[in-house]
Amino acid sequence: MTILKTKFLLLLRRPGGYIVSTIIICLFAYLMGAGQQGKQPIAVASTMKEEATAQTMEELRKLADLDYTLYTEQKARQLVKDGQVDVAIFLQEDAYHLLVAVDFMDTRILQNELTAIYANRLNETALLDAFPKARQAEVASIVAHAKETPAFAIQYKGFGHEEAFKYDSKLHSLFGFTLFMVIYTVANGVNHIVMERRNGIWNRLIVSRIKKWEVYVANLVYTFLSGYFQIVLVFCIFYFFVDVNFYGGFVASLLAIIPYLLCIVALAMFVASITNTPGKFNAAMTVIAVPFAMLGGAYWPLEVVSSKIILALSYISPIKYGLEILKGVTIDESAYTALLQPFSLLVFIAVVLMGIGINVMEKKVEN
Amino acid sequence: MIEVVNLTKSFKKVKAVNDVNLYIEPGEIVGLLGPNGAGKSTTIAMVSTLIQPTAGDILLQQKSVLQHPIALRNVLGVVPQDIALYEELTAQENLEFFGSIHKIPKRKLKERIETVLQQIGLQQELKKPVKHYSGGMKRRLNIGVALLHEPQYLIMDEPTVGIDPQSRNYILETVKKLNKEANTAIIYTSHYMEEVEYLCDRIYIMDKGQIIATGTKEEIKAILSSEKTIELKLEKHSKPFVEELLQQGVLSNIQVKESHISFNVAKHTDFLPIVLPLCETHGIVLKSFHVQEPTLEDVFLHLTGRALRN
Repeated sequence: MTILKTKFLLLLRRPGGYIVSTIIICLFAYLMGAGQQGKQPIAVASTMKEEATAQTMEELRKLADLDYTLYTEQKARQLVKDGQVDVAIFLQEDAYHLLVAVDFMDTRILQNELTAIYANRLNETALLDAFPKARQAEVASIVAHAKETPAFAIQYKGFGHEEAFKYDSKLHSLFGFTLFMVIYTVANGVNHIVMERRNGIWNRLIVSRIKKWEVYVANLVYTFLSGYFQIVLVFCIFYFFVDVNFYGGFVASLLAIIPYLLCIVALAMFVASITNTPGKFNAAMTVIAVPFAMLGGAYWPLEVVSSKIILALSYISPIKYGLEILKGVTIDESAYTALLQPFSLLVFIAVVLMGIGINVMEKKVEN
Repeated sequence: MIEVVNLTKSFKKVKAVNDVNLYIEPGEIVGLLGPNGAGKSTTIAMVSTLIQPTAGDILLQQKSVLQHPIALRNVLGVVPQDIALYEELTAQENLEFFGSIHKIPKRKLKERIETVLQQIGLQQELKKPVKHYSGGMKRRLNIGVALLHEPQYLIMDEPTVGIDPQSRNYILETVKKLNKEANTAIIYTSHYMEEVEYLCDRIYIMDKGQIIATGTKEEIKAILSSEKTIELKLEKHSKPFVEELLQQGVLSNIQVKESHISFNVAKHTDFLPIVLPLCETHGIVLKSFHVQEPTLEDVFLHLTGRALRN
């Protein structure tokens, strides 16, 4: 307890690094979350009447994951040309044209949807035309009523190519950056051990009446708690003050982070055991953290990565498993049994790395 | 008494400490000298129970402490060469922390902190963060931390490195006082021979992992005391005088530098009956002469060699 208390006192004396890293997590998570569009933008230009255009737009907006905005034809063409949108739709009375960028994957589905909208409208027109003008208003109201209370409820779901996945850019950025940046906070905690071993404080602790395992436990608990408090703080800020939806899994996410954090503490201990100086340790942690973040999907969801090599490499990053658990308890609403695999893997990595780390550290003293 | 028996430590293929035997009795100050890489630090680390020896034993009151180091830790204080303090904390906070890890009861610790602050002369500065201390003040606090649990034995590893003469003098006086008043036995390592000569009752000289000389100051110096160095100052230089001096068989290592001549003679040889008649013969006026006894440094260099160490 004495060591733990002193560690927190030291943190209070020099809180700058901790505060700055917390601000950086919040800032990046916010900016990245806001910067990434949740829905893919689609430009629409129309030569139809205003009412018909509005009606078609309304139909189109029923499709999830696409965001339709009305432009002039010239502007719509320019947006596709500039790469700002992947698709421009040109609506006409009885036909439509698509201007599609080569990397837009859902052309066929969009085409199907548009064809269905046009087919419906043409059917409706044909139906009305089959009745005398005097009765057309009555038939139109019957059709409208039938639309409002359909015999079958149609739900639009999983609009995307290949496997569908749930993605919330704000939540993903928050989780990704928190898992990434907390590595540095944990590294800073473990760096205390590296520094104290060099400047003789560690030896003073060892030759005192405190047992060696108590010294290790106190340092590791401090490291864990400094990282955990930071995550709790960041999650609370985004939950209470920023409009981030945790899908009812806020408390669960605070618990779900624990195995990941244990794994990172163990990883930092392992790195500390094979590096002798604080400088080398910090350099090594930086070299490890960035690729782990990129491979683990901290910056972008792994579901959009097509490279098989990157996907294979992603399995070595604890961030992948951390994200899996966090997404599982929030947006994916996974069953707890589904989270057992990433949970077990993180705990397994933590036990192995911690064991090796402490052993190598002790061996170095003796050899 | 702490006894070190046939202590050996090997790092892979290198024997850093090879079959070292030493002891320290309550109330004495023992110096441990040696060039860099001699094995002093490894020996100290083993005696401090920081690392396990490859072979040999460390006994406290005839009982081995290798398996149960806590007995030794309770009576041993270690002043490391590095400043092992939390720079962000004040002297008081550092003392409180290092006192509490020795499980000193709160009330007792408060008293001990006051006593220690007095011993190291930092009563006025106890609320200041250590990072704002001078090198000397840090060194003093570094010593103070090791005194909190009233150790009967104290290991001091170069405690005066890099400080001003005033602080150094203060530390040396504190060590003396500690030894006299609290009867604390001290193992003192330093590269400053005059410190060891001033403080220590007995000296061990280590080199290449082994103890190569041991004894009291006088006994150590006696290693080189079979000869003494004589330095003559003449009124003027005289070549025939020097040539005739060279022919005297009892003198050795004669060196001439203008009107200064130095030579070695056996410790009990009376050199004046040889020199004075020669001066008279050559009409040379002997202005002065100086008899030089060997210093601890001379012995140290004689034993460990003058070649530079890495």
